[in-house]
Amino acid sequence: MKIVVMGAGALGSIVAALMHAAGHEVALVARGARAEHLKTHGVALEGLATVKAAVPVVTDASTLREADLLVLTVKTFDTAAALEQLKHIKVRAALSVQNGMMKEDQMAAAFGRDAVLLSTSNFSGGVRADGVTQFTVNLGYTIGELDGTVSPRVRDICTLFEQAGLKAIASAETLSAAWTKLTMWCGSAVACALTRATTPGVFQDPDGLRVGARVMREAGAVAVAEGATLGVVAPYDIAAMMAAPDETSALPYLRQAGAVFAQNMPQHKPSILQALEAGKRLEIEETLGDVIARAGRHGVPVPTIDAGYRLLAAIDRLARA
Amino acid sequence: MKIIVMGAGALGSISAALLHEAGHDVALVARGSRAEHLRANGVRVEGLAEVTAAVPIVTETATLSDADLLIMTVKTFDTEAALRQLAHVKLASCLSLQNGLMKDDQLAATFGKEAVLGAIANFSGAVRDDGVALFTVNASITVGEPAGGVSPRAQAVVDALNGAGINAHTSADIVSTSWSKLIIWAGMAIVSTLTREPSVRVFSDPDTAMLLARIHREVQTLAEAEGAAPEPVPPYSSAQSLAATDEAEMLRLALETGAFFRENAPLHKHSMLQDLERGKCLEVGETLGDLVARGKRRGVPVPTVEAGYRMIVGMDRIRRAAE
Repeated sequence: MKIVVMGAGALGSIVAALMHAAGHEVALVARGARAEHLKTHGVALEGLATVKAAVPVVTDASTLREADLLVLTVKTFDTAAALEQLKHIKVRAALSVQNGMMKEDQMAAAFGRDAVLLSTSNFSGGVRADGVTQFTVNLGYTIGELDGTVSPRVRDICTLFEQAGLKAIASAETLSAAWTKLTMWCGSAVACALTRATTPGVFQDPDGLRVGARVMREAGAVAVAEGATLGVVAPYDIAAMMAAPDETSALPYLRQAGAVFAQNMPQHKPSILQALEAGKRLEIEETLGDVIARAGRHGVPVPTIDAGYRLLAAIDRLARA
Repeated sequence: MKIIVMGAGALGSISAALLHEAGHDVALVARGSRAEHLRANGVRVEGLAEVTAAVPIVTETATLSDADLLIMTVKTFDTEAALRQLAHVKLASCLSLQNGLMKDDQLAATFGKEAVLGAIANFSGAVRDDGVALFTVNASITVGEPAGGVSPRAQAVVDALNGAGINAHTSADIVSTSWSKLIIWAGMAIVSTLTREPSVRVFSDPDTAMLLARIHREVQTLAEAEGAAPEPVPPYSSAQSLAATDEAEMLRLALETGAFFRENAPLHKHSMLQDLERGKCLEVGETLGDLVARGKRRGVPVPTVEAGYRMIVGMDRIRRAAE
């Protein structure tokens, strides 16, 4: 199968290396020094998989003609520029591992709605200083059709990922899974990034916990207005938090998630806090910003998300001023 | 005047030294190595005033029996412990230079309502590593009766401060004046501390300027529910934005304040942000936490203040637990 992976950060490197090692014809689109490194050293994974794959690395996307599968892995703020480079490609199926609910509409504008699949990823890793990608989380890549069905191609693509060693789930509930993840993401992002504290630190503190729960319940109300049925994104029981009669009753579920992190990943920080600490650009427009825009359309109040978004937007803007 | 100054940080050191030099009978209550330093070297002030004053330093407050005036200058989170040490002292008047609105209730609970004078300090400095108190802002200490009006004793305190070189004046509505200052203080505390940016930048960025305007509106509404009539504090024209109905006008007025900072104080940072950067405890419970509690009691929603308070108090707690 002909696969184009756009973006050579941690997720792009993982997908490209695993698919190439599984025998597929992969092109990995990378830039600058990262592209040079991968051309010279191959795409190396450690952690949950140890692979060194001589994946063809492409820096000029205009040389690409077609793809059976395109996997978009760039940061959300680079999506528009990335799609501009790729829109000439004949793409049969397109997926994005990004956060948020904007990615499918953006890909549909570039490749046509029929090509696009809905997905939400729960796998992760980090690119180390030596260029090796540490593969740390393989909890599943949930995939479905935009209309909420599970088609033969969805099953085929999931099989493809599974055979390559990346857990994949064909699901008719992908929209709900994506919203469940985004709801969790919003709460962790606001509470951890603004306090600069670890996930278990924030969700075991009585006040940090309440900020996280408030943001998640605001985002969850938007998700419900969008037609999602909220569920669980381990270790967060978002469904229980939303079903709780009031905010205080929702707190124990989030405290429990904090306790799981304290036990298993005591230093865990959400990616947005890692980006903030590293002085990198923050993925806020397509996540918090998009949730606020959708909340406005549905008339759902999201005052805490709004405050968190504005603080992070200012931090991001001023850091680059 | 017989004066006890409680706390030997920047404000306590400056006021004790200057009042002592003006001839008042001052006792400065200090602790630990700071007390040792002041006993050995005197209380040295530089900056807007230059003195080295041999102020009597007290570490054992049981030796104090009475005073005409107590000036509280400890950090707000040390107030309860400080007042317990002073509860036996017979006072004609007491006032606090601390931030927030809880201080007068705390003083009243210890010394009786009649002893308490309201005060607002627009007066600041910093203790340098060499122990010298650098006196940087001498705008004014405002003093008044909590029940309103200007009494002879409030005038006497103001006269004593002015006589010592500390700019002071009376206010006939000290409660409203306190709220006016707190409105501005709370907004800057939240937005500066969470973004870690200097004042000029938080008043100039459109997103933080909007948050500042919203916090000002929340606290103004709460102040009015408490019976106060806050007024704009120059240069913070955003307080006036409360009269503006649309957010665009609120934003414009906040940005105007940003222009003032760019011209006049481009490096200014809110004191809470300075404390955060120096790894100190943050004065958050008695200021922002008190606003959240008052909002709840009055049924006035303060969602932005509450989110900010919880993030800052959580951050402070997590940070200190990690040390």
